[in-house]
Amino acid sequence: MGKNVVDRRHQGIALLLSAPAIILMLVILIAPIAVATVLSFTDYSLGNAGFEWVGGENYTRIFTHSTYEKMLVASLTYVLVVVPVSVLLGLGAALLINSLRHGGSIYKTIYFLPVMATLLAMAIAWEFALHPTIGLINDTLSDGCDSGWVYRLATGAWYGNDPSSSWYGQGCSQGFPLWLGDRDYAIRTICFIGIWQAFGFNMVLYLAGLTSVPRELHAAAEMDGVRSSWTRFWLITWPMLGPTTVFVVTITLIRSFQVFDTVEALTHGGPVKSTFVMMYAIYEKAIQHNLVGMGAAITVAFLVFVMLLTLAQRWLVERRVHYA
Amino acid sequence: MANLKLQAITKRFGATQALKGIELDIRDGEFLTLVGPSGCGKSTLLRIIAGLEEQSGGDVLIADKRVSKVRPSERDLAMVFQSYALYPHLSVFDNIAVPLRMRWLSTWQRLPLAHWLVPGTRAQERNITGRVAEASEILGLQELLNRKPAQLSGGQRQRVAVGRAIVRHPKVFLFDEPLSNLDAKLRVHMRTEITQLHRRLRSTFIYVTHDQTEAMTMSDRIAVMMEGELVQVGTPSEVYQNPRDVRVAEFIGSPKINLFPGSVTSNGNVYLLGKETALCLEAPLAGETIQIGIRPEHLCLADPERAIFSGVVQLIENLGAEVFLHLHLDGGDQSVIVRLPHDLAAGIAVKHRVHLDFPRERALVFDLQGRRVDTEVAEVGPVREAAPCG
Repeated sequence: MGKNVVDRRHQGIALLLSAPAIILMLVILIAPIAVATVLSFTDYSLGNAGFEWVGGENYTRIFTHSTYEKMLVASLTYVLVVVPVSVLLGLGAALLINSLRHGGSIYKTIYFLPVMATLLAMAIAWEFALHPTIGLINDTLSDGCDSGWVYRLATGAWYGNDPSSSWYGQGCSQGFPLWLGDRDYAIRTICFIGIWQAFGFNMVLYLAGLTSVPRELHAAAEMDGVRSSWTRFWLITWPMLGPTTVFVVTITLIRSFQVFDTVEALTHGGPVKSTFVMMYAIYEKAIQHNLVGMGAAITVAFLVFVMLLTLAQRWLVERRVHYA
Repeated sequence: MANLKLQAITKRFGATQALKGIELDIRDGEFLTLVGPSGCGKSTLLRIIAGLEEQSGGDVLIADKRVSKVRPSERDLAMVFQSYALYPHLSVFDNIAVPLRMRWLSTWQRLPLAHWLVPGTRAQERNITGRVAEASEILGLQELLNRKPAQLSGGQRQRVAVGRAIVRHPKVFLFDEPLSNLDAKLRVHMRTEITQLHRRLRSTFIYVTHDQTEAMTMSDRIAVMMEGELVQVGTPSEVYQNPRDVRVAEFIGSPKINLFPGSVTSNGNVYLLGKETALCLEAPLAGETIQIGIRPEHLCLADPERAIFSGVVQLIENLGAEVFLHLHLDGGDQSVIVRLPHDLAAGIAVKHRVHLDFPRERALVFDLQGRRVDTEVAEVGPVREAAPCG
């Protein structure tokens, strides 16, 4: 019986001692999400004295209203383009740099520059470069129209193509695209900048992963008769990079869902909501239009998306890539 | 199976000369051990034989063919690595099958799913399964074929690594300290397994180790390496009983050989710790200081008046069948280890004084440079006759 009393007292002390940490965790980490979840079932606006419960109406709108359909399309397009391309480019760059005997660190620094530079500042540079009339890119492209051999090469006239049917030929005759103002090009341009920014980071993660591949495995493969680097990649490098790949994909996925700064700086979600990604939608609804309830609903939907993806990663992939 | 020749192999890493002209003939079917302290270049030499490292000079000949320009995968050797180097994502079966798949199947036949479309794949896979089964039977791995390396114990992983080497029936097997990651008991067990494997396969084995016990117990011949040079090559008993260099004498044998300072008179008589022995040098080496080596088992207890030196017991190590006495010799700070059968050591305790002698023909004399000097036992010793120990 005495032991029970001591046990209970120990329990009390344990609770008391861990209380500050638990309270902090609840207040700082759990409470905001709980508040957002509650608000997502209301029509609350900042400054209003009260609010009405609207039930699942905000959520119904996300999945039925055309604006939010465009939001989902824009976000998914961005994620589905940026994640695979930046992961593969990162892996490729890491493999190339890893195979260098000298100069690897120079390449590392250069490829990592976009990660270090603030995206908002770089967006201004991109905006200038992509400007339809005075921008560097369209200037260069139209200069090529006047130079005969560039024109023939880029339009495919050299291989007997009809110049006017090619993308470049049409650009020369009808003007090159408004990269950020054309609804067909804007999301692609945003994706391009996203890749440009993300792949250096992925490269660094892969370089770290490559250092953990034991050198003796390569020697063993050589003894086992592996002759091509292609086979060596599939036999050793790719399986050994499994944990890194899971991590890189997860991180890039979450970061891609969170894309905001390029959209805010360059397109404001337009044209015709073609770049209306989730983060920008939250910002526009909750902050600019003061529809806090709606913003909260998108936030919760966003959270669920990312959570599901992360859990799926853990369950499906992580078990297969850790061999020890 | 093949013989292997090393001709004047040198290797430089920057300014350091790791290998200084290694000459070695390894016979077909021989178990040769390269042994030496860490950093002596033995692993480098093995990697040069394998082709994983390029020599700075000299030639490697396998079956009388120069292989310096031949890729490791084409040299028809197999290697067992210290870390085992198993593919962690592949099962035991697949690990053992890799060397065959890489050699017997084309790139198309190795593709997942699509490989069944290529004609002949099924027959090849059947061959491979047969060979893997054969190898796993030799090593007792049949029950483990579906496991991943992470689910195996150290000894089992070791066996899988050996399986991956033997499945292809290569000309020569290379072992790079394969037992050093195992615990002591398992090491002894794997030692006999590898020796039996050699007897069974009758292939050429080249085995690198820093453990002189492994070298002594497993090999047909031992090649002792020191500081990038081959110091002595010979059978285990030759190297043990007749070391040509003081470093070999010190390296081979446990506990370590006792070394005493000595000197030589102009007529070749050897003095040990200032005392005359019945030993004579075969070739004169007058006035020089020398070293005299006596193995612990060659020292024996003697009557005080016949003993060549006496000392006080500092420590007794009882190994059951035999006992190691650590002594401090009188007059000086010379320490000596004596190895005695258990019965002879009965009654000796720490702090006891014991008196020692040794059979003269067992003494090993080395000159200043550490080279062995041949000696003979004088017919009639100045003090008394030779070989006083029973």
